[in-house]
Amino acid sequence: MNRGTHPHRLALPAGILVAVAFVAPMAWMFLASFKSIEGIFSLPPRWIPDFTYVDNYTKLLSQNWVFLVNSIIVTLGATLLCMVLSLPAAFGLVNFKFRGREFLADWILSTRMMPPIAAGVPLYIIFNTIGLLDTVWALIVVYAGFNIPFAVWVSMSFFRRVPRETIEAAMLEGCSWAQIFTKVALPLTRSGIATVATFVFIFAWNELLLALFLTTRAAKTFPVVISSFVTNSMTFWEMIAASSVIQAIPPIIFTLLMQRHIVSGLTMGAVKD
Amino acid sequence: MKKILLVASAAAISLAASPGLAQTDWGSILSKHDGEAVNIMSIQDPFIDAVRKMSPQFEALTGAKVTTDGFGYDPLHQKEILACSQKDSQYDVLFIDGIWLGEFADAGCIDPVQDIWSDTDPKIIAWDDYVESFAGQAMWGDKKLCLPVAAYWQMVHYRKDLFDKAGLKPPTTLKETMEDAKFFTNNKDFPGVTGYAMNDQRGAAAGQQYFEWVYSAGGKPWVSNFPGSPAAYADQTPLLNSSESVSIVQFMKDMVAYGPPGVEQFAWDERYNAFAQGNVAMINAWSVQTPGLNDPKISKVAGKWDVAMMPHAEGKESIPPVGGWIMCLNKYSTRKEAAWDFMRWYASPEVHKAAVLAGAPPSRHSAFQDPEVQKAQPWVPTLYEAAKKAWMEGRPRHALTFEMIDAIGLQVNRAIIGEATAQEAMDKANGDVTKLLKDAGYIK
Amino acid sequence: MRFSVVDSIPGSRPKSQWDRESRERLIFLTPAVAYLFLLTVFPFLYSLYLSLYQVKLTRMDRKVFVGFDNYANLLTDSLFLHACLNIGIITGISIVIEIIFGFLAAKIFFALRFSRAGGILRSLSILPMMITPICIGLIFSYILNPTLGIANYLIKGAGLPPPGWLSDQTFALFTISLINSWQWTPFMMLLMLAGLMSIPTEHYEAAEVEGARWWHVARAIEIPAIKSVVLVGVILRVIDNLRFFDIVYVTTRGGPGASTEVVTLFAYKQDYQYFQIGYGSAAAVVILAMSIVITTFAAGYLRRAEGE
Repeated sequence: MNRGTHPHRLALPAGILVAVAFVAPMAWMFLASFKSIEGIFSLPPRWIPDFTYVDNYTKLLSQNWVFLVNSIIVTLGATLLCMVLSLPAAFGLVNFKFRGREFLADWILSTRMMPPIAAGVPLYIIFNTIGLLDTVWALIVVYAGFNIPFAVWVSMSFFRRVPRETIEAAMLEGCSWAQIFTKVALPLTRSGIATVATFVFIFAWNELLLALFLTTRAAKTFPVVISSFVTNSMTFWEMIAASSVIQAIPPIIFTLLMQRHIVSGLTMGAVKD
Repeated sequence: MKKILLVASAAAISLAASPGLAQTDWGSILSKHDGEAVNIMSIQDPFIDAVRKMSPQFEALTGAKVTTDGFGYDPLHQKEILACSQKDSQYDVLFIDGIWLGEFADAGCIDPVQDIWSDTDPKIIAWDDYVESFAGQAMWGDKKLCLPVAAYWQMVHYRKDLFDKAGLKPPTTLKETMEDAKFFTNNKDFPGVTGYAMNDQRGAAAGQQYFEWVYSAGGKPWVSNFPGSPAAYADQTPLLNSSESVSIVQFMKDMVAYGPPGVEQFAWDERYNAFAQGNVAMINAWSVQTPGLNDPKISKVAGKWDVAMMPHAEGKESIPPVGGWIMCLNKYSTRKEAAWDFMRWYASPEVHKAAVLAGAPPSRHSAFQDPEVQKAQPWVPTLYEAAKKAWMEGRPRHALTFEMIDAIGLQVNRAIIGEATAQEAMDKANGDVTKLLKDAGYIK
Repeated sequence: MRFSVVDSIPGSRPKSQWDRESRERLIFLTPAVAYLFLLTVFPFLYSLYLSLYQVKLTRMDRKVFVGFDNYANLLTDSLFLHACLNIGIITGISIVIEIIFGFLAAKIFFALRFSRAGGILRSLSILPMMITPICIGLIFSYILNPTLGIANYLIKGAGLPPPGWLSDQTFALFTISLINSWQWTPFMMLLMLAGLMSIPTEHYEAAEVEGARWWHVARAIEIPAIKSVVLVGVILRVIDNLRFFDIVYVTTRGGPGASTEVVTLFAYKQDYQYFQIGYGSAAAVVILAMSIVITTFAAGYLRRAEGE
């Protein structure tokens, strides 16, 4: 193995092979989105479709653009609320010394073990009682909440990197905790926070199970729309292909933009990059 | 309401029209609902496009705004039943599967149409014009709860070109079905084709398939359920391990050899696509899927297929499966007048025919007998025969229908994949279903 | 890049000396804690309560107290037991595949770490784990369609007999695990890559001088370096797998037979399809209990590993 700036001559082909293995299945669905049903299943396969055939997209969006907007509102709302709640908590858990701190942090982590399926029925009954069922608010509240453990833990790992001396200096100048948080800690951890927010965004964007259960019409999200193309008498593959492509756009953009921080994000801060 | 107007217009209609001849004067029958919404919740099936195509006419007549939202099968059931349990009024008109009606009636989700149609001209309702085998699925007990506007029946769809080339006629018995399926499988003269694709996937697919075939095999799923039974739910003691039940499951298992590879995991969609792509000589399919087979965007076999009645066991009769969607008035709707106006308008013989021509499934005798419809959909005569011979209580329609069909579907599939013999699997199914029904107090 | 498990464990910091008014602190912590409490503890208690009843969501008025009957039924429900076994198998197979292929891919991208093309290829390779799971399931049911799918077409084209990907009861569970590991191998890969990056270059140089073969290098230098990150990854994957749902839901629905039934699918059908929320809640409580046992065990293990 050569560890210099010149990698082994087989490394690049191998890397290409790996990338193809991971991208090809998605690409195949992407190509399907430009075909009619007959073309989607025709054998031998029609490798390259006619990219000017966009009927699937126009039909999909003309009927479902409202739900795409719902998805965006819910996801942005949930991300914002989640960050507003989690960042101060993470900052506090890192910087305040108090009895039971460790326990509190562990408890927050343990709530992530709650399988969404277990919360579905009780949440349904609560939202039904207070009249929030099928509103974007219900989804915002739930998605924000379920991502708090993740957001707190990963943010903690970023706040720990803020040098002690900086905080102590601010305190000597008479800053309150609130000022230290907003004027010192947040600016120093900007890129980390962006990572956390992006992850929360993607988790909320991808959620299906609870959205299926907690929405009817007004707050229906895009993954629910995708699931509606599978019915008992037929599966609308051309619609599935087009909607999957649209659904994948934000995750793909974000992954490419912030892949530097993906490791620490996905391990809840346990592994840093 | 506007009784006088209605009486007057009813008189006008009866003067003017024998059905189908003259245009109904809708303007005098329907009220104005300017700017009012009529929200329809429906399955994402092809007939939804016909509803959407027809709606603007209603909007022009009444000023209402009609919106139709399509959902997947499981989510639709979930949403509708939950919306009802929370007394939700967002949707006014609900399309529900005929087999869900017992559950919806039990939960009190629907305003029975029978209670609100008294001031509507019977010619517009024309209940007797609905084909009986599906009209029965809009009734619970003796009560007419919904309007049976989107009826499906099953037929065998076969490749006429291949059958002609082989000099074969479509099969009528189970034995012939298997022989023909065997003939086409791995036949050098018919490359790339296998015989028959069934609906073998574990769960709802295999469970429903059991109910689709058992009557034609001369069996009955429970004691008092048989074609023509006057009280199908009187004695629900299951007979899932009777010799007829076991024999039809054995048939499904034997047919795997003459199906496409992976048929054990086929459900409605895989079965249909295999046929549409020309890989299989025969399938049985719901009539809602039939028109698509002539659409070159969907199908490679356009013009090369024909339909036949579902096969039956030797000495028995063909009892085709019936199902489909009934249109119901949400009990908690706050816009019931507009919703009911839409329902009776859309379901009326005249509009129904137009909807059928726009792609909706025929559900009325008048539509089946209409020459224009027959010309547009050449399979309609066979479908009509199937419609007349079908048994409306083919599948359970009580509140436990999902669980029961799933429990049976698990065992039927186990037999199909050879994990258990047909007898073992159906013994287990019988035990499971008995427990289910006992726990719920349906049987003692 | 560097990695550290130690850092993530609270309490490892020296005591902070600047405590101030506790009221201000409360403002920082209370909202999130209260919010989480309401959103998770209440539903949990409510599930616990429901699990003692036979009750349909559509008829909440007809509730029958049955004590621990639901739990007793679960333990004799062959479908549920199958589901527990299957999720164990899926987890096992997937994690082994993810580790093996993750390691190979990590080595490849480690070799390419200074190349621009390598960076782009790596970015592309990690896309699967960000994609909506239901879409992953749909993509694979499209590709693995037995008669019309591209996978079997290519296999047949190569003159091989196509496997019954999802229709053969012994193969289906493996296929499901394969799809699962396809989505999450990139995750293992990234973890291991972070581990490899942390190895000081001198270690490699020393090995080269001594003429060590690649497996010596792997055993003596690389594996020890990535052991603890892999452990973190494994724990997270085990917890994730307990809620494995979307892919099975769209590809096999638990079939053929009960061969790919998983616990969440089981609970889903009881809760959301049959509306038997008593029985479904009991299943959910059991799932939660399993998660807690595994997490506690795993957390303890992590602490010990950190102490070493």
